[in-house]
Amino acid sequence: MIQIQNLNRHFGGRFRQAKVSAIAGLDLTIQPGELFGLVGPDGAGKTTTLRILAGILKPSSGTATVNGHDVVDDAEAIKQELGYMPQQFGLYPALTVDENLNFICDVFGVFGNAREQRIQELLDFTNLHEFRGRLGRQLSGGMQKKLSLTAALVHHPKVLLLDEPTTGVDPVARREFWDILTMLHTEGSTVIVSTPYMDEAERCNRVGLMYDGQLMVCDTPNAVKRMLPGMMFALRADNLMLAENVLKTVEGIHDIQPYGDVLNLLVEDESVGTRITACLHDAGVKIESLRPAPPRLEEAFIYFVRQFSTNHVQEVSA
Amino acid sequence: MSGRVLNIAWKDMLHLWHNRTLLILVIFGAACELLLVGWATGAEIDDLKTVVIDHDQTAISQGLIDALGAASALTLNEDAVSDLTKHNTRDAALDDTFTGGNFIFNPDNVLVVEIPAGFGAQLTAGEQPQVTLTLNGANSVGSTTARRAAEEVLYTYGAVVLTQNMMEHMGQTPPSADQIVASLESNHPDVVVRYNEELDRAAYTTPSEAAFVLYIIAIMVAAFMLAREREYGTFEQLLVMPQRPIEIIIGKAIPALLVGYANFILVLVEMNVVFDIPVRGSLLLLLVLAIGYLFVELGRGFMVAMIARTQNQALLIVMLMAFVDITFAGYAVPVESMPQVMQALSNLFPIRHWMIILRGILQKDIGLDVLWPQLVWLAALGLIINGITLWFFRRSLAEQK
Amino acid sequence: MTNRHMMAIARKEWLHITRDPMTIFLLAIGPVLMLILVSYAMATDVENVPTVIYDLDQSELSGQLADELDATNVLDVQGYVSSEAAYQDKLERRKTKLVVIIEEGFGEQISTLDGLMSLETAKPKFSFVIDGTDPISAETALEAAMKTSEAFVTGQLGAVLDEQQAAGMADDLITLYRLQLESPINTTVENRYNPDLKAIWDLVPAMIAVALVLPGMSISTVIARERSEGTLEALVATPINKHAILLGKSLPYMITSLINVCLMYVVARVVFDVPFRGSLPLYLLLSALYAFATLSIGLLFSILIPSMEAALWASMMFFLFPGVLLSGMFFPVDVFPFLVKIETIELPVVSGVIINRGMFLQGVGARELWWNIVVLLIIALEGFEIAGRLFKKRIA
Ligand SMILES: Nc1ncnc2c1ncn2[C@@H]1O[C@H](COP(=O)(O)OP(=O)(O)O)[C@@H](O)[C@H]1O
Ligand SMILES: [Mg+2]
Repeated sequence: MIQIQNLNRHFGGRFRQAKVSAIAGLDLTIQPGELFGLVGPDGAGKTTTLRILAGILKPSSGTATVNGHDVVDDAEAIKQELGYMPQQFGLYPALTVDENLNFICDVFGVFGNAREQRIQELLDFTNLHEFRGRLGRQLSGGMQKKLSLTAALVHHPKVLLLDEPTTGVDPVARREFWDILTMLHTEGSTVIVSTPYMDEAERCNRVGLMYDGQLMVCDTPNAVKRMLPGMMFALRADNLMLAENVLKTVEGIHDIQPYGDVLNLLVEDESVGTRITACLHDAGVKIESLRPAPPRLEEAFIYFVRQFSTNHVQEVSA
Repeated sequence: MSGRVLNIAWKDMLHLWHNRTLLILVIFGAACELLLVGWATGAEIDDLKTVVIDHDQTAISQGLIDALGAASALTLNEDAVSDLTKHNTRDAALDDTFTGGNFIFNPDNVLVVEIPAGFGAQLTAGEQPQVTLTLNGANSVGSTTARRAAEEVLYTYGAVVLTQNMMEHMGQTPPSADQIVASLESNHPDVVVRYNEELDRAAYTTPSEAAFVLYIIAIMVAAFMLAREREYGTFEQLLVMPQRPIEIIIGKAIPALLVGYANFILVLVEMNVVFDIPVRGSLLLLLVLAIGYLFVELGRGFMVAMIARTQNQALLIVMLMAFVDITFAGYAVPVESMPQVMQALSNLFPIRHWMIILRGILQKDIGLDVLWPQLVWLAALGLIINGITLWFFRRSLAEQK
Repeated sequence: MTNRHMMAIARKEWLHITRDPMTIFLLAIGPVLMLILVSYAMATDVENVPTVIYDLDQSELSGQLADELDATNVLDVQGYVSSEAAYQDKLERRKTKLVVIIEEGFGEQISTLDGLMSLETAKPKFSFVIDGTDPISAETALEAAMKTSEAFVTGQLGAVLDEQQAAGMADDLITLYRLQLESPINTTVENRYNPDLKAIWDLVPAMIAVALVLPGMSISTVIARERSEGTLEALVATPINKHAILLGKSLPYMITSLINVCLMYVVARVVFDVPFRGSLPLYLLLSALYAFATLSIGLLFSILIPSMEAALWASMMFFLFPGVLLSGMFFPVDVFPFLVKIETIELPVVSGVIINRGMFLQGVGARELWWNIVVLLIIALEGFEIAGRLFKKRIA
């Protein structure tokens, strides 16, 4: 369905501007019916990738096809079968919800009863009914996102590209959003969604971890977590601040992440556990509990970024 | 206070710096305009299409045609007559039914000179032949210029032919045409033209344009800059900053002031170098007064931004306003010729006073002893306009907070 | 398909225009407003030019000359000055634009025939000083002053001749003198289309063309607006045809332009009493063509200049300055130097002014205006074509 081969895109480089490489050598294949998550921090190149797939940005080199259409030569054909939701609010702030949706229906040729039905359906879906008369700019951030999604769905697209659909959306709405995406997925749509949130990535059937314009890992969430070497410990203690400082010096600990009153520790193997207990005891920290915990994508991601950037630095210096 | 003002000014300067297209337009746009307008209007008028219908067909009428053709303002449209006869298989020149009306409908032709049959004979006999000039009233400036040129030619040519003929008739050797022309000229009263000795149009339009440059840039920078913030909601950002309204206004005025001023200097230099229009009066005074004027117009620019809800509206309002301002600046029609009400009204437009100051210093070398009323007007208008703007600004701040 | 897309865009754009009362007001009434305001103020002929007399002769005849000058429409004699410094001062303070200096011996000179006898004594004993800053009104004032004063002098001398003839002067000599007084050739001047040379007849049709630049300016920011609002990204990601986008965006502006043409036509006829001598259907058609050409240029600006602020500036600089000052409204375009003339051909407003004046005053039709029609067609189609070619459905 989607094939990306050795894709590159850089910006700038003219008029003494610094040259930025937004995507560097991206390879990716996405099958029909997937719910694919493109995960990465700000500036990783997610938006650039999605824009290229949507046919609105030319790659600097490399090829990409969507439904067999090339993104450069056949961009208009792609747009027929595509629903694209940009990261920014892409609808008209000076028009009402209804007017915006009518405009999209006009564009895609959805008329008459079919239009009324489709709009009803989508508004049910996104709970926007009571805001139909409100101007785009008067909607809250979350509602704007929902409206953008609605607009992207009007014409039953085969492929959906969603760029950070849940950024700036409250947790309840976020859950609703993902329910919608899951539903679309089960209905058989191909959905590609970019997100900076790791917990969301867990809900995809496959994720690609993107960093600095490259795909570090690409697999199912469980497989990605399994790639993580070592294991996780969850630590509860009376003085977490002190504990964190102490543990920084302990060998065999890859990563320390505070989560409320828990400290998540990524360690080489189980044997590190005894060392931790000892060190904390020496420092006078009282341990409430120290248990093995299941690793999450977040830890995996951070681990891979570390790996990747040290490799990267080595490559560059070599 | 000054630090916080400069904060805002700096932010706007950065904005300008990052938008290169805008930067180039802002800095060089006005100078290019001036070149174009100066060149266009400064040219000698020498291309007014004139058709001559010669019903006389004598050596004397031919001489008149040549004299008309030699006039620098006129260009004979020689094909017009033959084109017409081609279609009509008649000889237009000899057919009395052909008049100016047959040619003047063509928007190209500005003037038709119709030489009557018997012109030569009547002229030499001193019988004052009747020549008809048909003007294209749809092009009034062109046709008026053409008429003046033609009348001048007719008078001189007639006097030369007539005098030479009379002298011969009386058995004296006639003076040469040049001598006659010289004596005719000495018969005219003297005319001294002040301030623009050659009656050069460029010397009129380019200072006007220079005045407009300062005016429009001040208005545009101020109006568009603030309208942008309002449209994109960054206005909110301004509101949460610790600056007081007056500080915000001044902060925003500084970049506009710099840009407007830079343009003004560029335009002054260009006028001097390209169009040879020097500053005859005190340059220092002009430069100082320009700052004052800029402040007045900046106030109006901000006012536009407070009225407009989007940048597009600001654009339309500025255009409408500029038109009215240019009218009342006395550019196209002298204010003295306007109806009394309009004349009184014209005092309310700062550009009117600025135009007087600019021309006065630039061309007449006069100083504050003469220009003080304009200065008082500008100061009063500036206070009122900026007062209203500040009030508007405070009100919208209060609304948003 | 393209049609559907175009209507979709047009409908949306129309909503945008009509959403905000201020925008619809500015677009629908702005040009008419401009026409009325500017015409009222500007449609003034050069008249009442303030004039002072510096009379060194102090004779009865010099007083009569002053009265004659005052009797013209163009000049307004405001009084006498008693020294050179005094008129100098008045010139500087713009209290006067024209000074008539009557030298000593003026009255005497025109009461005898001496002046007609030899060149030495012929020099007229009056002269003018004029403020030349505004050359066009200076020339008009000067012409009026010259004509009036020369007519006065000729009339006086004619009267003297009549007396001499009655007193038995030789006929030959009388004829010779008379010839010198009278102009050798009489001229009849016929002002076609605008017999009284009413400035307002001249101005209003031109203003109609000029006022229609407002929609053109407005459209020059449409693409920039989509870009700055972030809506362009979603728009270009739809399969909408790009020509449909451009046409659809022009359509509402086309409609407001045509509404304006109709309103301005009525204002011109009813309020300003300007005659309309052409064919109305043709006029509407050509106005539509002119509006389209202006919108094409605006659209081209919109695509060439991606940022909102720069688009605002560019359209202001283009439409206001060359667009208005070089439109042919104030200065005839025929007199511009070659290069500028080439330049002005690209300005639709130049052809617009010619077409409007031609159809209102001259009553000409498509045959006489063919060149301007061709120019407008080329600008409209070519502008649109280039805009279409430059407009990429991409974001960078
Ligand atoms: N139009 C552009 N011009 C210059 N640089 C850009 C542009 N778009 C993106 N970039 C740069 O490319 C990189 C990747 O950006 P983006 O794809 O938006 O990342 P993400 O969506 O993952 O946050 C960033 O460093 C960004 O600054
Ligand atoms: Mg992004």
